[in-house]
Amino acid sequence: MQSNEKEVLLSVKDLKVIYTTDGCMVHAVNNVSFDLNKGETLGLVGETGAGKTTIAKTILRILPDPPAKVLNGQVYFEGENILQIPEAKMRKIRGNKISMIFQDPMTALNPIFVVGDQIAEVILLHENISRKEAEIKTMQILEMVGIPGERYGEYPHQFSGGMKQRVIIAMALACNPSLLLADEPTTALDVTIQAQVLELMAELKEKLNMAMIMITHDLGVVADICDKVAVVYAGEIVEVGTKEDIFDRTKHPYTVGLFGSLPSLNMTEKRLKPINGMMPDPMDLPQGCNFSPRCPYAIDACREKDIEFTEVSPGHFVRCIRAEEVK
Amino acid sequence: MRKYIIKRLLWMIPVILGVTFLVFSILYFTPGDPAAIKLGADATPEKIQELREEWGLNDSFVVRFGKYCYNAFLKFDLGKSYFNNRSISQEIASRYPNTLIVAFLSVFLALLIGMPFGIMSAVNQYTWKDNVSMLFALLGVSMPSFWVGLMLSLLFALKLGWLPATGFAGPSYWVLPCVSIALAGAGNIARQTRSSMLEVIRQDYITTARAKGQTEGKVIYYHALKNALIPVITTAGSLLGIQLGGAVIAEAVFAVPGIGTYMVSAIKSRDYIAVQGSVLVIAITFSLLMLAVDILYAYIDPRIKSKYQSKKKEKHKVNVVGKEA
Repeated sequence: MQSNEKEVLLSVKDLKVIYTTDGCMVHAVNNVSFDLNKGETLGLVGETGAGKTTIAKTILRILPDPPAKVLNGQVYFEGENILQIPEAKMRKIRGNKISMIFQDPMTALNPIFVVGDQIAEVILLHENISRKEAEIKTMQILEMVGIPGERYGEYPHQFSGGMKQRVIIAMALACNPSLLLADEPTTALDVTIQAQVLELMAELKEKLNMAMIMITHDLGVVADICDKVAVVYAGEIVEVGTKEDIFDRTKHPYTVGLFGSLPSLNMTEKRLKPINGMMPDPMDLPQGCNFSPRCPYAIDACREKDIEFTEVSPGHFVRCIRAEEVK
Repeated sequence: MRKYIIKRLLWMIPVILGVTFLVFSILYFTPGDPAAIKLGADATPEKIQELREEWGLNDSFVVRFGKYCYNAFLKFDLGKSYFNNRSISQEIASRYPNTLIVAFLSVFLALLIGMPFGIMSAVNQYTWKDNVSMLFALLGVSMPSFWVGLMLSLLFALKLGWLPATGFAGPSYWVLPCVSIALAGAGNIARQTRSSMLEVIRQDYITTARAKGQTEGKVIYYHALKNALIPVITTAGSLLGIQLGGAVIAEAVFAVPGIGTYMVSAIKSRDYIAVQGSVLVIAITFSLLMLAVDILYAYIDPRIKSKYQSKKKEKHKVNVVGKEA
């Protein structure tokens, strides 16, 4: 999709994931494609239930199957389709080359093991070193995320939420991954801690030169740390481009709506402008453009057939036939 | 932790005194004069009076209760049977080990059978493996253990002649009673393990463990199982409690000379003082067992442990998990 002289690290092509429940098919991810270069940060933005987490878990192949099923598509990581490789080989990638930070730090740590052991576990799994060395390395990593190494032997319940998220970040970074999937890492934290954690992540990303997929519904976070942004709606990427493309040259009506529902400091109106209507039922997606029922620009042609991506400027793709008219 | 255990042990004193008081009062107010029963219908009132005096039955309630407690708790003497004049403490001491053997072995066996089935069910939820093992669990729970016991002795003792049907003279005698109790227990434990495993394997930290690249076996047996153990331990603990106190039916079926059969025969012959002694011993065992279960909780779950601990910071042992663990 993007012709760049930089090296492509991850390339997702035509990914389609469904969940089956009681015979119903939930279309969670529909034909998602994107590329990510080394050291780059991609923001996946969208409402709750848009399929962002499913995309991340598909990349790591940790979706529960059943009910989830990857219907088609490829995920190329360092040139290899990791949806096809055997599980044993995938395990070598998980936590090592690709790792993930989860949404809720309160529940993402095993409550009955000390945090140090949980971090050392990743190191021991992927690196051929002794326990003692792993312990020492764990303490260094803890220090790196701002936790004193002496807290190695403490249990998760002895840490605050922000500290737990730091532990999880430490765990994810323990083996210097080349790709980090961050699934709403700040959603469960309060605002001041959010800022700290984001700053830490941006700093470490720079230091370790990894690529990152930042899943969020917070456009402020995106503006802070992402290079590229993909806007996800009902399991589909509706607009993708550089941060500047998305923020300054918005082309898709849904993205426009997202910004419209954001409060701003210099706003004169008393009320926010939410997008009318609800996300479509993923069991029963509308014909044609998924956003058409809520779209102020929708015309009959929108509802006839699936909308293709069009490149409005180099690297800026939009899934809308009236993109040029959108303001 | 030690402080907590001592506290719990001290708490046992009022519990045991309360149990003693209750059992003593119930039997005190139960109609029927042990002396008259002992001497038979043709005894003269003088003789009965004499025996009542000898057994201290003419003392007031408070005096009798006080004497009983003094003898039981300070001299470990539960009195003499009204029926055959033997020391109850000695009778219980010679029988209780048999009950203990049956109880512990059968619960151990139940865990050994039940837990793997429960884990397998949970990991393969809604597949044929799950359905088959849950069907067996349901069968196990639904079959009364005395009936299973009878069927087992019919097959293995009578038909095949592999194992002795009654008595308690050695390990081969333990098999049938233990297995018949364990089958029901295994069903219970399998169902409990399944439901608590199902809850745990949906937790985020299990996904975290998978995302680390950990093998599925380790995820299940290391990360999930320990978290799922607490309800299983509760079930096993109460199973053990039931077996210690009331394995009456199983003991009766296989003629195991345990505390259950002793209590039943004591009740039949209105040997109230023997009943009283047995109940007391069972109550004490039960409280100790529950204490052991609570300590086991703390050992498994550090969150529970931290509630018991004083504010003093304890230095945790650094212990790395992973490859060889």
